[in-house]
Amino acid sequence: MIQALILLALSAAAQETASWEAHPGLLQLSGLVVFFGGQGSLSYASPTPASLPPGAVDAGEVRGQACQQGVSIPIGLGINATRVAAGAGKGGYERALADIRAKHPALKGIYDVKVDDHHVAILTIFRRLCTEVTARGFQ
Amino acid sequence: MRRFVPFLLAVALGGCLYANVRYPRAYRSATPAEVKADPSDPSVQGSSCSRSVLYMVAWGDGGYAAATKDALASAPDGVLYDVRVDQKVTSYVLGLYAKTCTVMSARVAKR
Repeated sequence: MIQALILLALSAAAQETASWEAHPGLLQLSGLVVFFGGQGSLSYASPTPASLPPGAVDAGEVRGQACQQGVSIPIGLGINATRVAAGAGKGGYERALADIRAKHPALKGIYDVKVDDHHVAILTIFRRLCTEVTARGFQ
Repeated sequence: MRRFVPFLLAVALGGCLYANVRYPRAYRSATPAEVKADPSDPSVQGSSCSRSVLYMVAWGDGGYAAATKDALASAPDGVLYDVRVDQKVTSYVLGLYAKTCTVMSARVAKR
């Protein structure tokens, strides 16, 4: 009994995430995940207004996004039916920032970066998680 | 608090039938040393919210971008600094209706 309690406490402690640890923005799928090839945001030391080089000109607000998609299909009837799931997509910072560069090729950089997660779920079958980057550009 | 966050997200997202919701992820805001701060700079507040009903449907934009846009509504050409962000959750009857808001307080400096 004591050993079980110790094991339970250790597993609970292992699941506790310390404040300095990163939290990846990966798509969460339920069921038997037969394939997952997703890439999500983890960390980005984004520039602030202090990072602007001398002579930089504000270029207005810019936006970029990158998404992961997944499906989770029930293979039986009932609320607790077993599900088969799969997901993929490059939905991390790299692709979101590349999206900004593609839309605004004249930009030299960005600052004042806000990052949001856009979650879409339909009937628990289709899920999409997008990393949306909103920032100010400069030239 | 950290264990409570997944529950709050589940409440905010709901989404057994449909979910289309934005929630905040990261915002490296400026400090007073990084902008042209002035003691006369005004203080502003902004918020953005998402909602869920009956654990089935969730909608709304509770992200940083919407909260900063709301905060800068009175000073669209400014830049926020000294930004404090809180999350406010209002939940009724075991979360049958829940509203999760990103509440932002900051000061506005000139660009």
